[in-house]
Amino acid sequence: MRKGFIGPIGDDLPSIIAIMLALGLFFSAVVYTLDTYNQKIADMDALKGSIEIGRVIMDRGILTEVKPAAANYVKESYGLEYDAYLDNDQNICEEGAYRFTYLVAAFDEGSIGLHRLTICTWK
Amino acid sequence: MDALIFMMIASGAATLLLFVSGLYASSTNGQIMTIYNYEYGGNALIAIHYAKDSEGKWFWNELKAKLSESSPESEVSGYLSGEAKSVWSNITYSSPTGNTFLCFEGGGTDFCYPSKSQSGFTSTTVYTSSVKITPDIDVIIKLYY
Repeated sequence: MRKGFIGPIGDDLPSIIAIMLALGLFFSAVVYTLDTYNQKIADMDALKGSIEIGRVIMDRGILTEVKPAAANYVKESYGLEYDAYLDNDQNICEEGAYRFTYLVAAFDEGSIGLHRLTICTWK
Repeated sequence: MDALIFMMIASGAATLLLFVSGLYASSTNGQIMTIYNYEYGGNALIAIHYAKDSEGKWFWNELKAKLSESSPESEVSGYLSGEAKSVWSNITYSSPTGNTFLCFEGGGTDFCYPSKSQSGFTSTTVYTSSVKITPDIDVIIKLYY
């Protein structure tokens, strides 16, 4: 038996450890990057959906219903939940929800007037 | 030696990936927020056509009348801080930014409410939506960030 010889794998052990470490680091970075990318896409989708919901509710600047049925189709297609409030200046949206505000004209007991609309959306 | 070179290349690639993903994660959703700002402005301009002042007069008609006066800036300014204060409050409370201006441009008219020199802001990003109030004069909502 040769002195210091620990087998064919044993000789390559330092290289194998280095390669495994490098591969581990590389693939961790790939997984992290993909996760970040997916989160960002989901975030952008939620924002897009929120604006779409706002567009449907406002119906070109004139509000007829605070929660119209048409907005449900949009929220479902984006997988969002939403709530809409008139003339509420408090930050009523829950933590983590998007908050969009608009100035709208709305029918109010037969007449039409100016109102502030707050839309909260969340996943 | 080969393993060391491989390790260096893989670590370099991983660092690059982490750097790029960090940049991507920290990027703002600027384009979507731009759409929102323009939508806010466009809708606000439609909505104020239906606004009434504290005396029950149509805001848009009164604004048009003030703009035809000999000193439109002081007339409009007085109106927006007087009878139409509630309209202006609705605009500022609903606005996505703290620096909101209602400007009047064209036909020799060029001023904003509130006067930009009074507010002392230093923003550069601006979103504007405009509509004609007379054949010469545009009413512009300006949102500064």
